[in-house]
Amino acid sequence: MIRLFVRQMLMLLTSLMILTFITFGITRFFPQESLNHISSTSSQSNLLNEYIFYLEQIFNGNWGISQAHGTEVLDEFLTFFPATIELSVAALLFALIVGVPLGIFAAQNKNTWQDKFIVSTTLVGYSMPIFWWGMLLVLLFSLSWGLTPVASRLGFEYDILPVTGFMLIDTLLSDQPYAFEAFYDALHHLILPAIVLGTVPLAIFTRITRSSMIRVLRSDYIRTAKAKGLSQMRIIWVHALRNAMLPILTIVGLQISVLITGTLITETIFSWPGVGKWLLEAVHRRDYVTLHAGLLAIASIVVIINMLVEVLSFYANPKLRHKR
Amino acid sequence: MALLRVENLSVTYHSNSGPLPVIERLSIKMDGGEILGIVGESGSGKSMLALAIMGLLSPKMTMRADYVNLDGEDLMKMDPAERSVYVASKAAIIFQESQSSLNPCFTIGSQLDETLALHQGGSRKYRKTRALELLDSVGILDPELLLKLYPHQVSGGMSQRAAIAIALACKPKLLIADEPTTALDVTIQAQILELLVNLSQAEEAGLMLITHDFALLSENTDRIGVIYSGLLMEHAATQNILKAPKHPYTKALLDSIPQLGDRHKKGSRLFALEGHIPPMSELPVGCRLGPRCPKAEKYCVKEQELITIENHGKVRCHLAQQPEKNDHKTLSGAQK
Ligand SMILES: Nc1ncnc2c1ncn2[C@@H]1O[C@H](COP(=O)(O)OP(=O)(O)OP(=O)(O)O)[C@@H](O)[C@H]1O
Ligand code: SF4
Ligand SMILES: [Mg+2]
Repeated sequence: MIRLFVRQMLMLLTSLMILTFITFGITRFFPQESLNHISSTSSQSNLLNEYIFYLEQIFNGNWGISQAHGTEVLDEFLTFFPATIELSVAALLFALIVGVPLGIFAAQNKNTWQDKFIVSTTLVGYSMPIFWWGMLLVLLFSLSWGLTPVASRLGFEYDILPVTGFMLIDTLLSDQPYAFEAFYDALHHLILPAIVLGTVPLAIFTRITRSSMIRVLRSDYIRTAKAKGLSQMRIIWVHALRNAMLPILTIVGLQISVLITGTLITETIFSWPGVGKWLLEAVHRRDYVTLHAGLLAIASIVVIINMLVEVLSFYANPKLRHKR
Repeated sequence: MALLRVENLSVTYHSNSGPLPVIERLSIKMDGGEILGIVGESGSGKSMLALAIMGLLSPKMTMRADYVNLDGEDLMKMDPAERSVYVASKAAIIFQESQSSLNPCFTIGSQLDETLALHQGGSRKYRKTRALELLDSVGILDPELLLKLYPHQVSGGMSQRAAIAIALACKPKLLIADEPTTALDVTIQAQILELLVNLSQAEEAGLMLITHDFALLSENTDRIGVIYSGLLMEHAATQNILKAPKHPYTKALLDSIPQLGDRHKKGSRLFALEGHIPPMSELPVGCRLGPRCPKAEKYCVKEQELITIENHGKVRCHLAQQPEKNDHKTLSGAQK
């Protein structure tokens, strides 16, 4: 167990190291004025010294001053980041809550028309260009039917003090009389972007759950569970899903990076004030300081989350956990 | 009253190219406390018989029967949900691969407790006591420890014992053991077999012992059913079969038991009959055994029925009715 921990830590450190090599390398191509905060001013400037100085600055939170806004980049990041997390988590939950049961249903009804329908739909969902898909949903749900708001995280009529940065939490923490209304409004705003962002993961989770479940349902221990007289519910949701979940977990880890990159597009479509939109604007304004910090932060977060998922899937699998 | 009465059980496999017979019109009967051996080559349909009785056939298989009467209730009259609950309360099954028949994601303790909770109920503490008793009764030295282990952490013999304990947790009146020892090494085989026999005697439960190894059955069973290609070929008391097997297939199976010292003479003979069990899609006309039977003759092109032999049992071969040897003139007895 300690060995695993050490190994994962080493892997994490190596990944982050490589990542900073790359970002450090990229900054060499940036215009000089955007690099003042991370450039060593010492007289003997060899590459190694500069790299170490660069790391120090990053770790100390000296991410520079945004060229476009003139504010601390770290502060900006911290205000936008919760919105992205909120959206990504909502999309992930949507994809899991719909995808896993759908995959289970398809597996249970393998080769029926329902199964074939689900499989072919997921194929479409998988190859869906999300920009186009997002626009289409906005057109239908927001503009034609008026079911959901078009953009942003909250209606203008509500004034919510940011505490955690997560709108669903902040609205509930608020002592305004309309706190609950605002909560529902925030939820309302979240639904469509989450669906758009969650569509590709949904398709993938459905397919993985289906194939994983089909394999598990054929196994001997499921036959034993049936022989015990357990209810169908218990067989599927406890005995089968617990095993089927292991490969699903790995895929969830991989999908998290897909989700984060997906926020770039989704946040732009829905004017969602998150990191994705922030970075895309930085591109337009040639705000190198922001771009550099944002990319580094996002990439590190993806690496860290992947490691966490890996540890989690290790713990979820007794066969790995109790080796030897 | 009989514990298990199966009448004209047929199992059909619905392949892509049409229905194929896996088991045809098979009838057996077992009393409480009785040990019935089911023997036949690989692929003869033994496992399918067990799964059919337990209601565990895969969706591509269907079963029909006049009745399958288990402890006084006809399973064929129940709907699937009702049936699975009823069967699970009366019967339990042990499979060949004990390791893979236990769920790798749960401890042996929780899998045992689950069955106890379902069938016996009681408080957590009571169930824990029962679990320890059960593991103790199947000869596990450190039950406390085993409760906490996952299936992959224990040996094959140990997991088979655990599987037996789980099967016993519903206090079954019928215990079906489908090749329970085939995956184990020889010394452990004998132990497990003895355990099964003793437990079934102690609990007065019927034991259906399925195997392709006649040697396992000769000492332990009361009666034996011989299956070939989905058909019951001979069904009689063990001593009758051992003393005077009537069916050529039974004789061949008995001949293939290695005798002491046999190995030196002829090398280890595996099976006395040439050829293989026919695939379900290419069943021979007439007697199923026809192409492989050393005694086959002209008459065997007719489909054989099970005939009752006085002081013996049932045999599916017209030769069985003849007093001695093959007498070509007295064939009338084999008529239906
Ligand atoms: N899932 C399946 N799909 C198609 N045919 C099957 C399936 N399982 C078994 N069969 C066929 O059913 C017949 C009976 O198989 P069964 O498993 O009952 O044999 P068995 O007597 O238990 O053999 P073994 O000693 O190998 O366990 C065989 O001809 C086999 O090919
Ligand atoms: S009927 Fe004929 S072929 Fe069949 S077992 Fe008897 S002798 Fe052999
Ligand atoms: Mg078998």
